[in-house]
Amino acid sequence: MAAGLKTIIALSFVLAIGFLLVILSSALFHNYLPLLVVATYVIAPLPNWICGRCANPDDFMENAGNAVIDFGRFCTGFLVVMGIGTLKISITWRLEDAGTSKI
Amino acid sequence: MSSHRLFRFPKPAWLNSATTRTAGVYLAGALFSLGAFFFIDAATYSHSNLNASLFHITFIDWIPLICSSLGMLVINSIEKTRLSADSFSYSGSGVAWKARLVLFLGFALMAGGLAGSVTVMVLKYLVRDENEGEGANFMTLWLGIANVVANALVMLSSIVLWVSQNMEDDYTYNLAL
Repeated sequence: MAAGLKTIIALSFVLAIGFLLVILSSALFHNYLPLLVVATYVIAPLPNWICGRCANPDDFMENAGNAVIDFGRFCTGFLVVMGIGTLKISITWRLEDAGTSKI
Repeated sequence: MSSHRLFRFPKPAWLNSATTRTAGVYLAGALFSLGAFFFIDAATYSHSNLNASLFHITFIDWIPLICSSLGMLVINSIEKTRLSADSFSYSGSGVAWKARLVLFLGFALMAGGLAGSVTVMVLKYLVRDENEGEGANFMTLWLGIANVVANALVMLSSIVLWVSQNMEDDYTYNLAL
């Protein structure tokens, strides 16, 4: 899957807009909990990368490295979906501190 | 294997690819985190100021989720080829029944976790004595329902992971650097 130059530029543009919106929303309302969401998404590719390096990719006749790679993918999927959950929990915490009970 | 199939319909071709396998593993991780999220959300709700009732999530509510997660760990750590091993291909003579015993213990842990969560919901949130005088409040009941939903999602994630890990991809070579 060859990622062309236009794909990389578009994806990095979307990432920059995402960071801008999160930092702006944290700074405008003085609520720094959504930064936890960004931290979760930054940590998310790490299990995939670590387990990809731990498994041995050189000898391709042996299939024993599959389990470690699968575990890394499992943890990455876990962290990606947990990022959305962290957003909901951080919003709930801030609303509870403000005293409104809308959720 | 080709002519003695049980079903009339042929097995679809996309079911054996490596992409489906990785998508299944990612989906299993997503389902597990969704289950954990429902329960952690209910726990933070019960600890916050929005919880006006007398019910709170204690350690007893955590026990079924711990049980289900341990069961999932046990079930998905077993290599499936050892389950149907006879004494010719493996050196130990009792490998097959040991693997089946561990699988049975894993299933028992997971089913016990789900049943335990239903029990906790019924005994703690549904059957109320003179504690709660006003009547059925849905947000209080949600604390118990979230426990059951979380355990059911962990069980579903374990099923998806088991199915996708035992998909046979024919001779895929990992030539990544």
